[in-house]
Amino acid sequence: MKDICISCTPDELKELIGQKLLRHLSIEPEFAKEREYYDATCLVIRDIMSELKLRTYDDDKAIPQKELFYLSMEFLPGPSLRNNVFNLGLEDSLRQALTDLGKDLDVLFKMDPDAGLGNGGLGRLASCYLDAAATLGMAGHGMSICYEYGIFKQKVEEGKQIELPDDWLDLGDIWLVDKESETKEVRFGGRLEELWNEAGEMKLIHSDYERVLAVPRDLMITGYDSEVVNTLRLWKSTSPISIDMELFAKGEYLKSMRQKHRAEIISKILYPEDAHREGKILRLSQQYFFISASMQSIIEKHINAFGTLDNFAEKVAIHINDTHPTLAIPELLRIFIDEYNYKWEEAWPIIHQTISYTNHTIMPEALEVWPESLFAELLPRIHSIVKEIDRRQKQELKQAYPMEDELRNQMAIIHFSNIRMANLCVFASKKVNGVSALHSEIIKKDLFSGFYQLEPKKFTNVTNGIAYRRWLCQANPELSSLIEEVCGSEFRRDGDALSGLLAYREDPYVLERLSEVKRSNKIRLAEYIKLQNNIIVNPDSIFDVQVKRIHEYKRQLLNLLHIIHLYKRMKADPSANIPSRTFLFAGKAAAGYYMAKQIIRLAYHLSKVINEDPDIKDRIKLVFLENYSVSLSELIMPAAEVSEQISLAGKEASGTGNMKLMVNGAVTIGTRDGANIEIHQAVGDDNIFLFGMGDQEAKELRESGTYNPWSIYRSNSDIAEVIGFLSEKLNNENFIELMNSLTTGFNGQADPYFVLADFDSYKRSQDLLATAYQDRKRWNQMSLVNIACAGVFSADRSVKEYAESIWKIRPITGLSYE
Amino acid sequence: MSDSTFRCPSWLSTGVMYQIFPDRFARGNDYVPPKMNKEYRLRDDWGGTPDHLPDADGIVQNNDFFGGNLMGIVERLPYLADLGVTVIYLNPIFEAYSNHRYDTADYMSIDPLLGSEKDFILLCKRAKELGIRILLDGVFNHTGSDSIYFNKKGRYPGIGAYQSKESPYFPWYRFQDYPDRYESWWGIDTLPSVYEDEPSYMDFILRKEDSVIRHWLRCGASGYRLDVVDELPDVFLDALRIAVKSVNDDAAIIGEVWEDASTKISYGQKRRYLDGRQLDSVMNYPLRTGILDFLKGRNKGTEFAAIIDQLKSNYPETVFYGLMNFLSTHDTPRILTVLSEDETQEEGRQILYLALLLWAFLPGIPCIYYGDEIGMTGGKDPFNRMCFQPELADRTIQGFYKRILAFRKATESLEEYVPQSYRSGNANDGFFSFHREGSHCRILAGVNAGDEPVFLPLDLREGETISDFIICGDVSFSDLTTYRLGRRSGIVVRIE
Repeated sequence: MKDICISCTPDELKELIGQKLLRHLSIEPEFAKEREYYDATCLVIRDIMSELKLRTYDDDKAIPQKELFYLSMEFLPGPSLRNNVFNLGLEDSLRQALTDLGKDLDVLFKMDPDAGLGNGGLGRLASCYLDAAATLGMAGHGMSICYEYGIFKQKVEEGKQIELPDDWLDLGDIWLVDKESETKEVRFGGRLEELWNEAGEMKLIHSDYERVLAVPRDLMITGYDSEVVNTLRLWKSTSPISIDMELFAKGEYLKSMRQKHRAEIISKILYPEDAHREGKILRLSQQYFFISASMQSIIEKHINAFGTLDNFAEKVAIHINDTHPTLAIPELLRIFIDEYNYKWEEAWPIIHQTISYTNHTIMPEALEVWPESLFAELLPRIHSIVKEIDRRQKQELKQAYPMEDELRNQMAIIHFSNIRMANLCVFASKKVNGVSALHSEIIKKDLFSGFYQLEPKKFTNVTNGIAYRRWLCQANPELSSLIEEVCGSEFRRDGDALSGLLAYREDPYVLERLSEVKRSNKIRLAEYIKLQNNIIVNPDSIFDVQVKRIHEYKRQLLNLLHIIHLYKRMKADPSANIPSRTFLFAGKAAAGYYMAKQIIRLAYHLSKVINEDPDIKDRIKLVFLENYSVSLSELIMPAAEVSEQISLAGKEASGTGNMKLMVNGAVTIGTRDGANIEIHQAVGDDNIFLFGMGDQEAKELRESGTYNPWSIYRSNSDIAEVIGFLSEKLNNENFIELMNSLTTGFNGQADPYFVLADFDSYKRSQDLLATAYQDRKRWNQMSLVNIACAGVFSADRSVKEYAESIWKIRPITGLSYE
Repeated sequence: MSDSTFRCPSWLSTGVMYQIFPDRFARGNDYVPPKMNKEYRLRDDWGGTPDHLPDADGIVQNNDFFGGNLMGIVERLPYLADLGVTVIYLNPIFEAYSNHRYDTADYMSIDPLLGSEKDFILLCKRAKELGIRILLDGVFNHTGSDSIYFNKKGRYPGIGAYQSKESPYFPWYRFQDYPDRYESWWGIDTLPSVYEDEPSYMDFILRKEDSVIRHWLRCGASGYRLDVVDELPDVFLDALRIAVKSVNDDAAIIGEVWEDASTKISYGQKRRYLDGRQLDSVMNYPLRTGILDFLKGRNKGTEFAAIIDQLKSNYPETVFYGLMNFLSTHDTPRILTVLSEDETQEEGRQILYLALLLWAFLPGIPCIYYGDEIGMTGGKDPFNRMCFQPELADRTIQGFYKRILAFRKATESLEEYVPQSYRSGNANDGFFSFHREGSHCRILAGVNAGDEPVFLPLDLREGETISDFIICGDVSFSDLTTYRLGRRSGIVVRIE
């Protein structure tokens, strides 16, 4: 560890905390409670971060090196305190300092809120990348929205998911640094006028718009053992007018506050329901709000530093994480043209050089499309720019593909009065990437094939990666100590060094220790389960986990059907040699996603039935842990032995939970989907359980229209038994709708994710897994190989690839270890 | 009085029929149409809109040709076999002036634009290898005016009836004021009517050893669909049956009758088409009308049930199960177009699926009018006669056709036929259901054309299980033995 901290000794930290309590919170240390200690400790850490940050950055000025701005509608930073303390190498000193003050650092860690500014993998990935960029000493900043309420808190009551607001700012506020002076104005609605001057030049005048203020609230991002501290800038919306006095005077009190409310609602909550028009407007407002503010602030900084935008692309890279930030493209054009008097032909190449885009999904229902009418009403100027981009694209396509009407329609930005964000991104971006080798191939061959044929070099792959230090070094200290003990501490810096473990494949001591560490983590999780769910699980059973968003394509239902099958098998043959297993589920369902909520309901009631069945005793336990979050995942991953990655092939772009579980020594049972394929490449055939159809098979089966789940039901007695079980009442609850999703469906399109088709193969694979587990040595070796091979899935590797081939940024000179 | 040994050919109660309008179905690879000595327009824009505007005299000439030919059909036989087709019904293929070829110019030659007799023999042979029969269109009520027989334009070398009363064909025609006033079909003067019972005509068409009918059956055809059968007298039909069956006892004779054929009265006479001495089967127009009226809400489910029950009681059993069931023909607007009137595209498609459930499983052989299976649309002719372009297929509709025909085939494989016993089931205003019972399986079908959900109990008997089902719209299990049919939804269940 380099000496990067200004104040590192326990005594110095003690002193700083005491001062904060006195001067900032006006309380004598001996009277201060946990909450005040929490605040004071966070402020001390924040000060250290600020100081480091100022060594590199001047707040309102760009640095001479090229900087990356990573735009994402979602970030899931998770708890900040432990991560920052770990990255700054302060854990031991701080623990000591607090102990001296009579406080426990772990208690403060537990108080630290889980900033839930995202839904799932997409947001967590964004945070992992910021972490890695800081670690690598690169200038990589995030930009998003300071949602007042992040992803809902999930409660499961009698099997029903209840969504509660997540008021994370109550405690999380402490990490945010407000920059009122850098407030930006964002304009909505209004009308456009053409104004011609004597020279015959036309200028567009945008008037009668509604003004919303965007106030930056910065979250500082540290990297592991790095002096570079970057910024995640979160914009909060507010109104320039707090109250309309005229209306107030008339007695129209509610109306007098309306504009303020309309402005403030924008940053109120993450992902509002977008099924109705009002909701859609809000979502689009959110997107434009944070994009416009971000683009203005990037350009202002750039102008302050360089006085021109001509060199914009040399100094700035802007990354669009999924299509939500697409408006960056027309917004940059707007600023260049309307505010800095660039001609279209001058602005376009600069912006094109600046922008890159990551596609995260090929599911048609997830590809963003906006009705043109709504778009035009809310963003008249941006609409006129998008129309011009579309006009130019149509011209280019007509030349490139004169005869291929169908292909041109697929590639169109505006089609049947809908604006397709993905096509706009691909057209305007310098580089486009998918997030796993398989997914990047699919977008080239299917989703964006027309674009690919025109510009094959535009497309590339960057397989996702994770901030493995969080899930290994921070969340699984026992395992990291073991690794350090046998192959040194280099792995903390460089994930590839994990491969040193491979030399100990046959070492009984290491294998035994590995198993002990796992058991100890399982006991820790078992205690949590006892506390949360009042279920006693056996730490010697296989801990089999599927933790991720609940979605039909991720096929939690396949896992549940297999559990029903095992349950039935044990009931029928109590002496069957089936090792006991604890099945763990966790994950949130989108509030409006009916089938996903049914899956949670099934997991809940099935757990009631199985856990309480005296015939089963402890041989199967099923646990649904509520409110899956970054912090919960940090508890689950270290204890997991089996990692369920069973999405229908071709549907999961990459997955990152699979990587987090792998680095903690869980063995994957999975389909040939997303990054599972690369996990397979890394660990080889013997250290993974692959099953099911491949993405091509799935595509052909879907396109043939011949899939008939009922015939599978008829011909497979295990499936018939499981479906029959679903059709009966379970714990007095009816699950016929789940059965219908697999057997009937609209126009007979049942089981769209081929659960029944893959069931048999999954079952056989599970049986092989159970057999392998009983050979303790073999299993521990598999686990070891998984850990050893996980280095390639470090976000450091991903970010280096992005930096080299897409963003063209380098570590800030002289500050990084590379 | 009916013949107790009367049996409609068994191949009319199994399989699938496919109607082809030859100029518009397929043009063979490298096919160069021969130059014809007539006024016509050879189109080079396959898929273009057929000429539909009247000429200076106010007549739609129907003389634009897209060049579909017999070899094109031969090349597309694998496609048809894959679809499950077992019978192809060809609209007229004999030499004629117009593109629909109902104005026969020479009964003994294949129209040169379509190919040759050799090509026809090859088509029959290749089709047979794939288990497909060929059914011809018999147009015997009239000929073309521009023909060997009438020769109004004098394009043919011999002497036609129009040219001289000495012509051997003069007795065939019904002149009122020779030569320019003569009876013709629906007053269209290019289609002069004949005296079908004129002995020389009967000899030529039917009775001679090498009569028209016998010739083409010997070339490989498996029967005839008879155009405007109402216009053909009993004596002609009686002789026709003898001629057909003498060449091939298993050949079929299907009549074009737009109403219930058992109660049809033409020219003041009750017809006896189905007494075993004339027709084997008829085109089932009452079914088409019934389906449209029911699905478009003009008739109740109970009324539709009564129509089918009426057919069942009026027709001989063997005919009832061998009826030619169609939703469109070259004479009607295409079914998707009819059903989509006043509906969104999506709704139109959903109603089409309901129609297909009824069409494919009510007694008879379902007949596809070429292109309906890929979602082609088009109103009255010639818009219902557009070129077949499989590359423009509506994949969802095509998928539904494939699934429903595969389901029908799977059912036949259990029983040899779709079960022969028909019984109507529960029905109400918007709902209609029926049963077909076999020895190995039975079928229960229900169609809810209304807006309110309907429950369809299976009433499973001892040992019975659901073997398979095909769904359109919103159908689900409400428990393991009852289906719930949502708005405009239907199901066919096979129970074993």
